[in-house]
Amino acid sequence: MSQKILILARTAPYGSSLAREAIDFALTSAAYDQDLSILFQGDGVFQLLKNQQPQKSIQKNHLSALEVLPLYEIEQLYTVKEDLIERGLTEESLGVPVNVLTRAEAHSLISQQDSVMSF
Amino acid sequence: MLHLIQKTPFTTSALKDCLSIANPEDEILLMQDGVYAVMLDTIPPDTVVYALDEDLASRGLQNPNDWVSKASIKVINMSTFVDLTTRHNHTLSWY
Repeated sequence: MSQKILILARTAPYGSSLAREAIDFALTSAAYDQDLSILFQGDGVFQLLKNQQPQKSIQKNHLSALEVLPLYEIEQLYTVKEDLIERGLTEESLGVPVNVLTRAEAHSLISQQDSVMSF
Repeated sequence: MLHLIQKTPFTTSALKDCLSIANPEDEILLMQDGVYAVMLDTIPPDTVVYALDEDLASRGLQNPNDWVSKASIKVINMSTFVDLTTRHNHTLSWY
């Protein structure tokens, strides 16, 4: 039976492996045909920034990992408007299409889930 | 003294704690997740601040026009970072 699962992506990419592990978890869950959403919250919004060029510090491009999610039918990507504004970002700063929610809408998204995984 | 800010200022107190005790003659280097401080307006404009080019580029922050900070931030590479550490008697990492 399909479960509603939300991945709460709260950390910036590259500084730790948590952001990458969230995506790995998403891809694994997709293989089991779950109803999956990802909410980029707090510093997690930095995962969405365009023009990431990690080649010089020999790391994998995190945005490229996010770009393949639709191929695995993971299309429900969300972020929080207030968290973007706090970090001087707008929707134009982002490299992948996401739904921008208010904090109240994000809370309601979380409350609709069967389980929430925080990374 | 050279201060190395290594963690994001939005979810850790690394930058705040450093600024609270830094002297005017100290220098600050933003590196790793510390480079996200360019998106914050809390560094006083008269502080000498450097940011590591490869850590900015990794995170998509290589364009100074996108930054929020009003401090004058000089972008440096790894070899200038090495020069900086040799110029200071003390290097202090903030996590």
